[in-house]
Amino acid sequence: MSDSFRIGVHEFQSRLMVGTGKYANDQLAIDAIRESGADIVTMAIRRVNLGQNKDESNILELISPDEFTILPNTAGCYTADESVRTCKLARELLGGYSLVKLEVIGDKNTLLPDMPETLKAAKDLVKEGFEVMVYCTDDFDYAVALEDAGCVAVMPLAAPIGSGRGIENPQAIEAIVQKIQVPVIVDAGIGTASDATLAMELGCDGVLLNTAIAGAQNPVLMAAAMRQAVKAGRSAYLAGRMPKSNQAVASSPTEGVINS
Amino acid sequence: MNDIQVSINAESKKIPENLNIPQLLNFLELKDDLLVVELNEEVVMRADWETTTVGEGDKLEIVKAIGGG
Repeated sequence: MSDSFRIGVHEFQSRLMVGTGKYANDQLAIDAIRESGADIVTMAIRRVNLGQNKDESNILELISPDEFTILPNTAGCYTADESVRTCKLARELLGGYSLVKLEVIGDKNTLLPDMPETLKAAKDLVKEGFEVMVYCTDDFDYAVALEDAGCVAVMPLAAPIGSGRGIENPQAIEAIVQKIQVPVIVDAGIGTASDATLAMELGCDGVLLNTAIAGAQNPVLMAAAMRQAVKAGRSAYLAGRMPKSNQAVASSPTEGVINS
Repeated sequence: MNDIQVSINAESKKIPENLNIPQLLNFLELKDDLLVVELNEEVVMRADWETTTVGEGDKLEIVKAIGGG
C-alpha cells in the first residue's frame, strides 16, 4: 500500500528522514542511508578548508541530489540572520532547490532551539521564498505560530540533539499533531527503533534522525530497524489501537470450560 | 601585478588583483564545482562568477555541504 506524504509541493514515499553526520567513513554513511530507505537526507553547510587537497571528495559526489532530496540545515546558527545567509548559500549550491531545515540554536551545551529567534528566521525565510521545515521545541504555541508563519513542516524535538533519550514528552507531541495541518516530524533525540515507532503511533507524519543510526554499533542494521520501525508505527496509527483497560479482559470465551 | 588584501573564510589573505571568481578558486587550488561563494554577505550566483571581480578589502565566504543532521 502506498502511503506517500507531501511536504509543501513535494511528495515522498519514505517517512524516515536521515542525517549524514558522524559516520566513521563515507562508505558506511551511504550504505546505512540506502538501507534506511530515506528519500530526504540532511546536510550541513560549512566553510571549505583553504589549502585542502584538490582531490578531496565532496559529500555531494557520494550522496547525490540525483538519488536523494538533499535537505540543507542551518546547524550551528545562533541568529536569524546567520540562518538566512546559510539557506541562501545552500539554495545556490543545490541549484535553486528551496527546501531547508531551519534550526536556530540558543545554547551550545543544551543545543535547544532559541524559539523567538527561530520564529523570526522562519518568517524571514518564507519571505525569501524558502520552503521551511523547522526544528523546534515541543512548545504548542510556538508550533502553531510556526505553521501560521508559513512553514511547510513543523519538527518538534523528542529530546535534545544527539541525546538518544527518546520521546520525553509524548503528550506535547500529540497535542501538536492534533492541532497542526502541515506535516509534524519528530526531529532529534530518537535513540532506538521503538522511539521512532512511538513517534509514528502518536500520529506524526515522519521521523528525522541521525545519531541513532550513525552512533549504533552496526549502523546498517540499525538503519533497517528504523525503516521497519517507522513503517510499523505508521501502520499501527492508521489501524487504530484498541482501547486501554484498567482491568484484564479474557481473550478466550469464559463459557464451556471443562470443569464448570 | 599588485596584490590586494581580502578576507576569505575569516582568514586574511593576499591575492592578485582583478581576479574573477573562477580565477580566485583556481588561485586557492579549489575545485570549482559543488561549492558556493559569498561576497560581502551576498551570494554570487554561478552565472555571475565570470563577471564578478574581487577587490581590496572584500570579505568572501566559500562553503560546501558536509555531513550533518
